Amino acid sequence: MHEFRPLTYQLDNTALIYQALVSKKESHFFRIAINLHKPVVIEHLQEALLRTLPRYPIFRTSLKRGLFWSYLEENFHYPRIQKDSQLAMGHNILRKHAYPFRLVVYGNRIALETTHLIVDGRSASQFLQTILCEYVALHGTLLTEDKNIIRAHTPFEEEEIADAYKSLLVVHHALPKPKKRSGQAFREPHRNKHPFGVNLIQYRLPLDKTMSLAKSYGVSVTVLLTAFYIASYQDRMFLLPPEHRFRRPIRVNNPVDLRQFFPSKSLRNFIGFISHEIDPRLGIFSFKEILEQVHHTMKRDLIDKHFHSFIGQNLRSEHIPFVAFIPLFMKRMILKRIHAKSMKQETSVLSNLGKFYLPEDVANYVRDVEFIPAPKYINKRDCSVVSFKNTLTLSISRTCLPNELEQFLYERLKEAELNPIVNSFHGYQD
Amino acid sequence: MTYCRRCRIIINSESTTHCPLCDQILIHHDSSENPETLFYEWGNLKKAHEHPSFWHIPMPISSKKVINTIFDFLMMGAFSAILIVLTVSIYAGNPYHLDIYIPIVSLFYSIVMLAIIRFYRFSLGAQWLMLLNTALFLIGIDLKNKVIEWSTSSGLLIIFGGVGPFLILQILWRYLKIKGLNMIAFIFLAISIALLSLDASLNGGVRLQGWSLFTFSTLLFFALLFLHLHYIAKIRVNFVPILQTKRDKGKDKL
Repeated sequence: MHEFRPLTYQLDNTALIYQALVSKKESHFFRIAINLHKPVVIEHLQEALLRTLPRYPIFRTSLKRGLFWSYLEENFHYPRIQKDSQLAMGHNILRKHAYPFRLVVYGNRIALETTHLIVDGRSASQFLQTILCEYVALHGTLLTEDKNIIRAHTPFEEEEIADAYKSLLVVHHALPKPKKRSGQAFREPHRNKHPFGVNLIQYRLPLDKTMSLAKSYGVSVTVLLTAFYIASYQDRMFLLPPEHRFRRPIRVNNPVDLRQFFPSKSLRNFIGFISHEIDPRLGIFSFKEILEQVHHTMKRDLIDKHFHSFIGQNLRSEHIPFVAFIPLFMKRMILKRIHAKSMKQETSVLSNLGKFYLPEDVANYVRDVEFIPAPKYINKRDCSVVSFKNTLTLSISRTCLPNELEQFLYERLKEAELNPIVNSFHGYQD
Repeated sequence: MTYCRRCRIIINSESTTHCPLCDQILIHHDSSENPETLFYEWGNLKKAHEHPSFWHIPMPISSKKVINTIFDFLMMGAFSAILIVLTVSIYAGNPYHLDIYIPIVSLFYSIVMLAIIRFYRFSLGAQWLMLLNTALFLIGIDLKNKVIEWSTSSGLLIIFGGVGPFLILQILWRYLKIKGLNMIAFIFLAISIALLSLDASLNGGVRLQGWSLFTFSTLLFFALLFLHLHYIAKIRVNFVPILQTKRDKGKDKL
């Protein structure tokens, strides 16, 4: 008798690091949440999820561990929507039939939590868009076809599950090595919370005001917010005791969606990084100076050539024949060390998802969108930005208790007359 | 149409009795009650910066933490040093004789113990580390003072024979999927082995008295009986849900 064998997918380059990091307790989930105007109808959402999931084969998987490599295997288990109980950001994805994402609901909020094991932020937002469109269609609203949105009935393309990194570089052996970073960067010195948990501070800014401010400086919104973030890190350094105050540079990374340079329909990870640095050992930087530094770094590095060398190096290390024969548990140990080392070289990450697009009929249902970064165990703090309609939501998740940096950022934003509404609460409320 | 008060979601079908997310029993209200108006208060954003707790800057090192650490250190150091010096000197037959190296070694021992407790917080690994540390400490004393022979005579037996089985029991409790009659069998086995090794250590590690052999044989019989019931007769009882419900009931009372 013919035995049924589920399909398997190889992990891509970014996912290889994340498969080493995930454990029973830590799943490194980031969250995209949508606040509707009305409470969620649970049956419609469940139906929408069931309709959407077959369209995204990479989401319909579970993580498996082999002897030498981890891989994704097709998962036909019934996907359940869960109650949004707390901002722990994750669950045990090593459990049998566990999906590498979860859809959680509380009141008006639908939140998708997923990880870089399967997708990046752009693809995750596309998945959520599809679910939301199906949800609205089930409410009885007739939706017109939109090219930017993948619907459940849109024909599937083979390229969507392809590894974009590998299809991009065939001759990665010939590429030069990227320049080495110079040592460790400043990190939040406070300890992680025990027991482990995530705290959140969100700033809601008016998008038009923020854009006009960025225009007045002649920079983009990402550059402006990164400059604010770096400036508040510099402010935070003043609170340190004098002998520890300005000993390391501040380095903030911006993830970049590589689809803008290398056209690809892949729905898996496809990101590169741009690193901004100021060194307060040389002197205190004014906001204008920081803005110029960030702006010019962005201008210099935001070309496809900058990312070639990084991708080439990562792929080269994947193809060393000796590496293939190392057992998985040893690989995980090594990868954890590599990840910890690279984490120590950066202060934080600010990722801008950009404008969250929804068709107009669907957008009428939605009040605002939130994008919350995954908790960082070494850097303690991460920042992410998403905008919808006229609201720009800047979320900072932190794993330590004190919030000095958030206070400085609030003061900086207030000083720039952006009038942020600060929201420290996202999760469960009794 | 009904709604769950806890999850604040709408459930369309009237026939549903429990919330699909939190399993709360649903009360079907009048149709005049509108969930959107019921939950309106929650819709307002909480302004964090208007609350004084947002502007609170904690001290870099709290005095409480410093005092706690110092007291921990002093208590552990003093206690273990006194205990070890006394026991070793009594064993050597001279209660007033104090070697210089023993307090130093015991201080080092207490520092290592303190570090293990601080970093591993009494986890299973920490317990193993503490046992190993104690064993190494005893061997170290024996090597220095050739008269004592504490570790070879009874120390290692007490550590690995008396306490080791209970640690293995903990590991089994953590990793066995079905925790039923087999766990009772393993508990009996652990107790019997521990008693046997304690008896051996009391008699200098050579001879065994009758009582420990008697308890060992009877407990072994019961252990084998339970193992047979679990693995061969396949009478599968799982204690975990029963224990959990008891724990939850206790929480409710609190």
